[in-house]
Amino acid sequence: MSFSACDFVEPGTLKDAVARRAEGPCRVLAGGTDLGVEFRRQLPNDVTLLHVGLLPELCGISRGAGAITIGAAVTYGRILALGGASPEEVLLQDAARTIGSPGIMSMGTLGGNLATASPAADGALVLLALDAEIEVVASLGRRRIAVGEFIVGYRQTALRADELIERIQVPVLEGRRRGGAFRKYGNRDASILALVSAAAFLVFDDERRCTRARIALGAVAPTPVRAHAGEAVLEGGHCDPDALDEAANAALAAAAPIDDLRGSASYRCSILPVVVRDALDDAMRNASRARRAGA
Amino acid sequence: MTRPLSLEINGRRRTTLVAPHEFLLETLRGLGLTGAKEGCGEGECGSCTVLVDGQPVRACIVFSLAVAGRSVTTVEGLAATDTDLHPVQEAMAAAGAVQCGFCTPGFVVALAALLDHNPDPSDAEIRDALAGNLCRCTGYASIMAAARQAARITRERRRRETPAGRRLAQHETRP
Repeated sequence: MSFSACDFVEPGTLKDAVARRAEGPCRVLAGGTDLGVEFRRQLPNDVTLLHVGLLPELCGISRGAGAITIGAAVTYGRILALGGASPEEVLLQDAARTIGSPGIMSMGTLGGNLATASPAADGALVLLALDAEIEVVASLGRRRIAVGEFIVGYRQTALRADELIERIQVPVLEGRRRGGAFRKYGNRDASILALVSAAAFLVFDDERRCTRARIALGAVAPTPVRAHAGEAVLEGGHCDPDALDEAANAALAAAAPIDDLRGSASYRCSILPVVVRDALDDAMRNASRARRAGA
Repeated sequence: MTRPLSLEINGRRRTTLVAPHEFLLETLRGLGLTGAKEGCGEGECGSCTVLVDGQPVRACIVFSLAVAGRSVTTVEGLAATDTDLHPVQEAMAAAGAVQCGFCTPGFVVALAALLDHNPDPSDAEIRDALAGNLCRCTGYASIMAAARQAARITRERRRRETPAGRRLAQHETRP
């Protein structure tokens, strides 16, 4: 008879959690919507689960000067319950809404989405379009990492073995003419991983010139990626329909998709410009709405 | 290496021993609550839906120890008595929204959670609430009909629970 030397540890404070993390290998459990599936498929031997999902330090949301700060263990359900006070918050909600069924949204966390680092991660994708930063904590201190540098490869992050994700900081920009959009293309609407997804965030000045464009692509590379070439087409211009078409096509330069069970690489490449164009249209519409609401 | 786990299940405090990596579905079924079913075992199909503090969760991928001390409602806890069914149960039976029945407890619990905070949902809201529950038999039309009917029953029961509603009900039952 064999026993697996498993354990389940639930520290009461972040400090204790960090101390346990430093002691030796463990798997960090927040909502468990990824980890639970992984353990169901193959129960590992000899693994300690470090449950951080209920740590008060990781469950807060605050709107401060120029940023929304979201604790790593905040669930999608709680993000959806926010008021949508800024275009940035609305974009986070757009991703949270489609991430899974209500039974997933009540448990899954933004920090977990980042830690899993799936190329199709909806949360990480919008965080990339929002220039969010991840604050991680270890017993020796904290560091901040841009989302694009946090996810370093297919399901790989820059998180060290002694670190925990503490919170995510989303900059809230100034200016009334700004808006974001999230588009996910999958085989059905609910509970689905993206075949291709795109997030866009556009900022305009009072002359309706685009001062900042962010386009992030999901499920077309080993990690969520920015479409820099597409962004460059839009910045400084007026985002007329031709420019939007050009930006959507230019986004292909950032894509290096693979064939998998959800779809082929060539299919992904052929729908990507459509998904990006839809996201850009939505972001334009939301930017003009934001201006009216603010006026 | 088991651990004691205490939960409030369907209003009753229960304590049991669980393995560190045990899932809530196994724990509940081990306690004789076999309403929640294991379908896919990966959080996709919704057959194992139960409520934790009133929120729907996928019991097949929730670690039992992660919900220690919290309040769990399973399909067994919805009806007040065997004859006094929850509005969703009443409507599902009346609408014939059950064929093989395997997915039914998950649908019932997911709908009960929706109606608890929204007794007047639109079709789109019902669809969103049921988006993660798969049924291979019914084609969903009868389940949608049952959901609308359950919402009507819920609103009717709530109306009767208001003071004005109670007076009206007394008046109606007078000979």
